Amino acid sequence: MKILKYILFTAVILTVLGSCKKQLDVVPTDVFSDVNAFRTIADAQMGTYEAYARYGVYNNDAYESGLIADEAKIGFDNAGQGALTYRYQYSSDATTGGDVTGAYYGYYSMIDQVNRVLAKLPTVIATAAEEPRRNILKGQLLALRAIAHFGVLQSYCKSYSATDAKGIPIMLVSDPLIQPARATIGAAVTQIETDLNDASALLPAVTPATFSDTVMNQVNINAYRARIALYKGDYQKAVDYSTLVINSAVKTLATGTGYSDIWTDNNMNETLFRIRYSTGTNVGALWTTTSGLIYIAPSDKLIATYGTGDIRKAAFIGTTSTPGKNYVNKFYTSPRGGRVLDMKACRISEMYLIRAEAYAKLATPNITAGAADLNALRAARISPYTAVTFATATDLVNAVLDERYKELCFEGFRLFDLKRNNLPVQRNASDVTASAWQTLPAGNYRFVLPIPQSELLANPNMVQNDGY
Amino acid sequence: MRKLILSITAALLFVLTASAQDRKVTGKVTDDKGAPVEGASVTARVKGTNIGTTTKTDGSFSLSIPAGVNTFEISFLGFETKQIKLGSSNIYNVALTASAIKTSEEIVVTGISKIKRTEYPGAVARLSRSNVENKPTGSFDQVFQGQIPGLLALTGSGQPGTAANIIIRGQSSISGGSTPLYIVDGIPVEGTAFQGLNSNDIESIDVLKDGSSAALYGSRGATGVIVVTTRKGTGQKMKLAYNVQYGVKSKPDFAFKPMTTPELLKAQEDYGKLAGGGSAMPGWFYSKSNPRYATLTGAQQLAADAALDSISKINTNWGDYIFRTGNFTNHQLTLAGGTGKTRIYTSLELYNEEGTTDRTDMKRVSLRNNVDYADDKLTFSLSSSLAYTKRNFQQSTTTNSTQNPFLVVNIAAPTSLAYKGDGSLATGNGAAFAGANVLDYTLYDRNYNNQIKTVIGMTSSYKLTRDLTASITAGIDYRETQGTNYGSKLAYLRTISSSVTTKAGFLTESLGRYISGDVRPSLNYSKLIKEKHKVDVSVVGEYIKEYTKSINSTGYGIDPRTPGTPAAITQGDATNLLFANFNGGKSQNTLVSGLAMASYTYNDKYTINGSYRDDGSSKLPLKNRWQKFYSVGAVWNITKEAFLENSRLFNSLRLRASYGGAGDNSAANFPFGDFGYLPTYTANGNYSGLSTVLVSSVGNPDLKWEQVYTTNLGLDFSIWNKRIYGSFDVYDKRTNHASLFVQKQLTAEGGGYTIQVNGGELQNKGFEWDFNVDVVKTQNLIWTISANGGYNKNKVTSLGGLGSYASGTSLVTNGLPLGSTNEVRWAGVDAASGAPLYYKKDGTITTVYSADDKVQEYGTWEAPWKGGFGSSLSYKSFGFSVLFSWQQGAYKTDNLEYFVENPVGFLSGGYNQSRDLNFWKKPGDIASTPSPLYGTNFSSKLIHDASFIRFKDVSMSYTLPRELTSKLKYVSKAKFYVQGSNLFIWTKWRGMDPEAGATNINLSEYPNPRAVTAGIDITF
Repeated sequence: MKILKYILFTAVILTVLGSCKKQLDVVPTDVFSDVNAFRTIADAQMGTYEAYARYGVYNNDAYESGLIADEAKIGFDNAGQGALTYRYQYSSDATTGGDVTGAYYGYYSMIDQVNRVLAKLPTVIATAAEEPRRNILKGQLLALRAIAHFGVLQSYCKSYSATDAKGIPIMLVSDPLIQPARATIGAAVTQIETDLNDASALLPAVTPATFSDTVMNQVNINAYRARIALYKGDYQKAVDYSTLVINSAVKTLATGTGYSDIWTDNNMNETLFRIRYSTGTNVGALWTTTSGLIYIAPSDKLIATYGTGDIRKAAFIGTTSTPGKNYVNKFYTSPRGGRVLDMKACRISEMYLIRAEAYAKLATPNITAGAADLNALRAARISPYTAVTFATATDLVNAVLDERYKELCFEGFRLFDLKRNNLPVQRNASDVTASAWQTLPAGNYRFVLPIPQSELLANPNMVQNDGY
Repeated sequence: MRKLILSITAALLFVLTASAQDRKVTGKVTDDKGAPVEGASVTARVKGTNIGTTTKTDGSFSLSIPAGVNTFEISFLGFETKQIKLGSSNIYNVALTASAIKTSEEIVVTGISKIKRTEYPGAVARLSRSNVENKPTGSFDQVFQGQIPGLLALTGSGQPGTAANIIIRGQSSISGGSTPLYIVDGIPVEGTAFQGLNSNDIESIDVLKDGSSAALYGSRGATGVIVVTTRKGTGQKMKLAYNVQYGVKSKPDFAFKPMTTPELLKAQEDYGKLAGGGSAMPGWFYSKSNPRYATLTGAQQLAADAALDSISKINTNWGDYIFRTGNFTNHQLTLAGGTGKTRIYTSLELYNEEGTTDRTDMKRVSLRNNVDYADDKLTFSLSSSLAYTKRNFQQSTTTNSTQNPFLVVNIAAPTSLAYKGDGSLATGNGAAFAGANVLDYTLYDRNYNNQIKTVIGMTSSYKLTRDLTASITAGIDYRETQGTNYGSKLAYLRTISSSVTTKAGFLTESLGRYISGDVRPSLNYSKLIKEKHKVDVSVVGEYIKEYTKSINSTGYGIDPRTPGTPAAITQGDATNLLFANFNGGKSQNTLVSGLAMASYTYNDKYTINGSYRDDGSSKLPLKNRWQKFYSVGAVWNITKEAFLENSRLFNSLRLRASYGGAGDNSAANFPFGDFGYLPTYTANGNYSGLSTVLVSSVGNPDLKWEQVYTTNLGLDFSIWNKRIYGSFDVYDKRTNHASLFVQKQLTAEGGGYTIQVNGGELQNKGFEWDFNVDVVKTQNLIWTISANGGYNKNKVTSLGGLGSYASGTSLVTNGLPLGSTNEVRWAGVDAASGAPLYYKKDGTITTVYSADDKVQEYGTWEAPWKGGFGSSLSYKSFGFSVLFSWQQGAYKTDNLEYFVENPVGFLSGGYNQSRDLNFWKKPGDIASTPSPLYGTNFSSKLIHDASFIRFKDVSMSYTLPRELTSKLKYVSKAKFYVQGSNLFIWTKWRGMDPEAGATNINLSEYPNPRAVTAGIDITF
């Protein structure tokens, strides 16, 4: 009897525990596993949206440029935001270098997302009607990969030199464990050009009626090609590509309120590519908080460049009742509340400026054509406007750079323009509290931002930039 | 006791029962004070079955005993069972000896088993009811500090009801937490939610620190086990008791003193002379030294003078507005008693604590019902508790937000007013209004949660045979926390916001639910062979299931007339753009285990034991799902040896050794969640309102538990007539088998992910002491002095080939303790230029701050030395006790100093500074802070000694003497007491609180309050 009791008891325990064992196979309820993350073309589309979302021009390029170049000064209500960067005291660690190292992670995380979707794209299920989307998505993803690589190149490398070994790692597959080395700048640019060529070939032709400035397409790919050609010093290509964009007529230069309303998202004039933000991302809060505290203000130097009749002064510079207390009006007023505004990643006016500069820098400069582009842009901005002429190509280049400064401020160009042309940052005395950070000499190592310390620890094949 | 029984048995041996017919035996059973015991069992064993009866009200019994039976047994809960040999007489008057108190000291409760202390090889520390009850804290773990050797208890916040940070014998994991496993009456409960547990219901707490104890819990025991046993009924007549406690809570003193108005205006002027500045610094802006002054017209100059004059008359002490004195009350009704085999304990408690700042409090209603039943075959225990807790919170505490009142109290300018002339708050935009804006948020906003917590556990055992017992334990731990966070649209800073949703006011409602169920069947075989060989073998199975769910929703557009209710949320549409957010998540995990334990004791002298546990967990990948843990241990009771048997010096001397290991899978500690091994994606991303698919976790397909194995050697002693007693333990606790989770920062190019991989090793070595001396021990006067403490040396011994990595302000480095702060060494201020000076790695001095110059020479927040000491004195009906807790060798970064001694970032922005601020003003100045032309970086300047001695507790009590209470008709016991908690602290630390939880960097946390309370315990 007793033995039977034990056997019974043991049997009960074993049965209960045995059935419990199956309970160990628990599957997650809140997330997908690797296999079913991208099953359909719709999933791939959602993965592509994420890649767009990671194109953080505003807090990467625009913030870096604002703090390091001469567009901005420390604002009235600043409590340390960006101050170390503004004073050229940034280094590679996250505490002091957060403003300038974030872009490195930002752009590669965008590339990782692109590569993850690209890897699954050939096998996702699509109906016959959906099938064309496969190539369209592939084209968009390749284009995004190219412009992300270019973003890294602009911030973390010296000016273009094909053989410069301190280029950037080229990432064409997603591999969380990879430890790549830096390719030369030339190799990186070649890959960027390849991706853009492939993308353009996969995407359908665009007319002004079918053009959309929220996705990568043949027109804005050409715009980026123009930008990259200018960076590379391939001025004929810069002329060619910017001409293609201008002649496509998808966007034209805007005037009057048609122009100033671009900055409050009341129209989409001039934008060739923009990243949309509906809520949450306060693009303009980098400069002025949503409650109106001015962290980073426009520099006196910038304000002084706008002549009378220049609509950009009011559109870009906000003034208060306190003299000298100004704020950045670009990305300030939003119809959606806060400082939530779309990031204008590429605009048609840049194409005129690229072409003007490229004409001036051609082996045989075409000063007339370059001046015509510059005058076309100025005429749209300044009223009344009298066209100007230039005696030398150098004069024209200088005028174009000044115009880029005025037109593209706080959009993430100025720092790279100065670096590209080997110019110093020369701030006004009134824009700085100490002369130590009034000037950043041309070619100074700080034009090339530091590779994040954490990346150097993670990647034995990575080398730091000079000076850090 | 055993000796006594033996001698009684021997005395009775010569009496033989020759009689062949039934005998009728009668008698009376009394307790040790001579009071009759009702309901005691009187049993005689006849051919495998029992016959028996129970005693009547007057303690009398009558039992017919068959022929051939020559013994019977008298047993009663809470008393030692007595074997009676039948002699010639038929009348047996038996006095029972109470066993309750003795049992609690001699038995170690592991939560899975109960083991005689003399046979327990591990290291255990015990707190009894008197250490825990009537302490004015909403979370019982706050009493641990200074009371358990080797246990570090740090208060993270003075917010009423917040759990302490407990670390037993050092951290055994880098990325995992250190929260011990908590067991209440045999049921595992969530480790950080004790606000629902009434500490006055606790009978004892066993803290199991070594590997042999941990191994019993397998994959859950690595951080140590804290076993709570709640009170049980007495088994006697039901008695009602009423406890009431009143008191006040007030803020402690801080070493940082904010500047007064004249000091701040002077500092602003000094700053401006060097670096200029705007209207944020009125002391400079209106100053005659400001070049601006000369450019003003005469009228403007007069206006400037007037403005400065009126500001200099304001001198606001923000501490007066932000702190308050809080009240404390606690009422408890207890019914305890029972009849015979059944014991009942019921308590109802009302707890009410106000914090030392507005809008912080805790209210609790708790109810406990414990029922115990035992007869000679079956025992049954039910432990159940239900508590409802409501806590109110301030906004943003322990953050660097300017909404945090504990930061703002130190950085709000005294030159600003709190209230305008019309009585409304002087709110505004910018630094000058920081103080009033915080008061404004506190006034309008609401932040509170309600928690329902219930823990129900039952254990039942049945003696299948005399030696074999089958048991089952089952229970649940259930918590539901509903939080409400309301941001009023009336708060000034929201009214001026340009964000539509901020302007409209928000309401966040959250719900968090935790359910864990545990079923544990077991079989135990226990036999004493030939009075010398004691064998104990158990087989245990365990099945644990945990479910969690959380829901969070935030709506906007809240009408201030209906604050804090979801009914007030405005539905979002394309016009108002007040779209509500709704999110949350759910998860579950399973643990299935088998455990075998065995122990053998020879002649009470030697014990060896061992355990083996195999745990299967749903949190691990299939290939690593089942993991094994084991332990071995031995005890040598030296005083049982012949050479010490007659020693006058040694009353007891016991050597213990154990080795064993465990893992840590608890939600509080395991850094991976329930599916950390899987690469996962979510579709929760958002791009301008479009859903996106992205990686949520890259996963670690090779995941397994960290394995923490401890070697422990201990000595328990009691000498000189038991006047000096205590214990000493040495241990070596290793996270080994290359199982330590180490962070692997993957490259940016790979996506910039960070994963944790098993690969490193870590060691904690140390020793612990617990010494007690009864200096005076007479009938009326007992004076005891006690001291306990521990030393722990923590060291990372391997990072599995990976490089060092940053963890907060520390760098995890092979060969150094966890938490070793990594910072550039501060070299002072250059007297000539006012520039900050830093040491480079090569020892030279530079003015350029570079992260490359960081070194780890500043120790860590985790104090290697910690402990407590105290004394208690009881004289007749008076009791007096004091307890001090201390820690030595902790170094922390003071974030507050970064704010209050920072001219560029804060003084120039209009914030207040510390009176200690001494910045460079002219060549030759020996200053502690650089010239305003230079910024302030984090450096070793901010690292300070966080050692302290805290006057943790003092209490005085008076119990009405028995002679008096016996004359009172309705009162059987009455005790009056007064008590002070946290009255003083001796420390070099200047910030809010040197504790501030398990962290390297102290933010502006809610400081530990001082409490003075008085109370009465009456038993009717």
